[in-house]
Amino acid sequence: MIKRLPSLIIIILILILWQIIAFVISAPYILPSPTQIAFKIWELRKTLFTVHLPATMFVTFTGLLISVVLGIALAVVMDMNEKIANALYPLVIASQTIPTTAIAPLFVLWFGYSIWAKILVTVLITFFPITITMYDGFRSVKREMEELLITYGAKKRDIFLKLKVPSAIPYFFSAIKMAVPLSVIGAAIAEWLGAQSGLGYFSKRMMTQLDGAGVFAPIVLLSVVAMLIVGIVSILEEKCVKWRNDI
Amino acid sequence: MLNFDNVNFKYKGDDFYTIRNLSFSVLDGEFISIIGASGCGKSTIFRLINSLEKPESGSITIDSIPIHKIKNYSSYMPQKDLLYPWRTIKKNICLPMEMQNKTKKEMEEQSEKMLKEVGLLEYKNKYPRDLSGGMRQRVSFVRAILTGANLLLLDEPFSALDSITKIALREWLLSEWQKYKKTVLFITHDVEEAIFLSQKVFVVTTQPLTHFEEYEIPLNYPRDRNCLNTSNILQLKEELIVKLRQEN
Repeated sequence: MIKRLPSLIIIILILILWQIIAFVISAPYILPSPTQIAFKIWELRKTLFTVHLPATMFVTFTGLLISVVLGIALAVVMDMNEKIANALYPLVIASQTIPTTAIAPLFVLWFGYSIWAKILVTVLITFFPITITMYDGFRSVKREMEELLITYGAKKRDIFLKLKVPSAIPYFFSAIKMAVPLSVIGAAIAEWLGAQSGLGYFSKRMMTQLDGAGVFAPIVLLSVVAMLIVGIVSILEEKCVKWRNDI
Repeated sequence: MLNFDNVNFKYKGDDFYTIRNLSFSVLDGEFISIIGASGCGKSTIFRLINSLEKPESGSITIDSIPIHKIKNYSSYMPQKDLLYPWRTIKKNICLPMEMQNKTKKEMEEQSEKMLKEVGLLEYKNKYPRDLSGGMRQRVSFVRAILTGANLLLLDEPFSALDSITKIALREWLLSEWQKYKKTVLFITHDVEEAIFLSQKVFVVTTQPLTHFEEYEIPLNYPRDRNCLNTSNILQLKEELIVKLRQEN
């Protein structure tokens, strides 16, 4: 708690400053104050928490799950075969250069307002960091540790399961922590561009009504949820990989 | 018996030989130290014995059988303990047995027996980070013993430890060697350590490594560190230091 005190103080100071500026400007459709946003969240709590948040979370987690499965599988294949790695690595990087906001409408065109257009955007945005981080994790294995295992008669499978997989666990957590906010962003962008529910969609709808606090409310909610998920992953990481700094 | 016969070796990309026409033998149960300047090819010998590298020509045999035809003939203990931080001490020492597909019960029994013998049983469920440097090296040694191999290759295992722990571990290693009657090849930079531990010292004086200069250590076992203060040992130590200085 003491460790987090400085950032807490900074957040409070920013909120106070924001409150003052919003009061001075006095145009809530441009810059609503933090208290107005909080009131808006409370006012819209039912629709935000029971309709739009679950819709966004469904897209976020489904996209994240698909990215994790595909990303790990691809990282394993790339680690097992250097030729495949050399062939796929540029493609994986190229996938990251595509601007999400530009390609998302295309997905809407292909899949309509269905859930898959949104999931695809989330996968596209999270697939790269997961694949590359996991690939780095598999390759982070110390050569001398691998050689020691070889002297015991280990085969490729043993090296992978007994050395590479455990060595990559800290990287897995880093990948997830990196991918969670990105998947939330991906889901929100996709909803913003074309959806019938979700926090991104809700924010867009509030904008058409010039409801500043209504635009901010889902954004605040998304940030809080992303921070909560990253916090939970960090706690899990601390429990699972206490040895992280011992390698 | 380990035998090198006219072994030639150079690393990929090198245009010079690290080892050239090297021949030597190590008898079963012997404790031999190899000393020499850094980069003279000492560790390469271990890599060749471990089959991590293959000689360009010549043969390496154990009891007249080429090493590529036998399994589990040697065990390697590196300078760093290389314990896996995600495994408990017990699981770390079980690693070589897992490669040999031993049953869970066998692994359980052997690991606990060994840990008890080296006084580390109470640490079996601890992780490497919970142990001191000296304890970790003892665990690493136990892991090497549990490979079941007769030939132990110890590559500067105590070099990273403080002097007091080093002294204690040298005495401990000798007692373990006498108990398990293994053949030991021990690489070190420390002349005193080589003399204290071994029956013979192989000194590397040439580059590429073409032969060893052999020195018999005129001491009986059991030994304690006071043995090192006798005049003939001090003289031998001086002789070895002069030899290594010339090489450097």
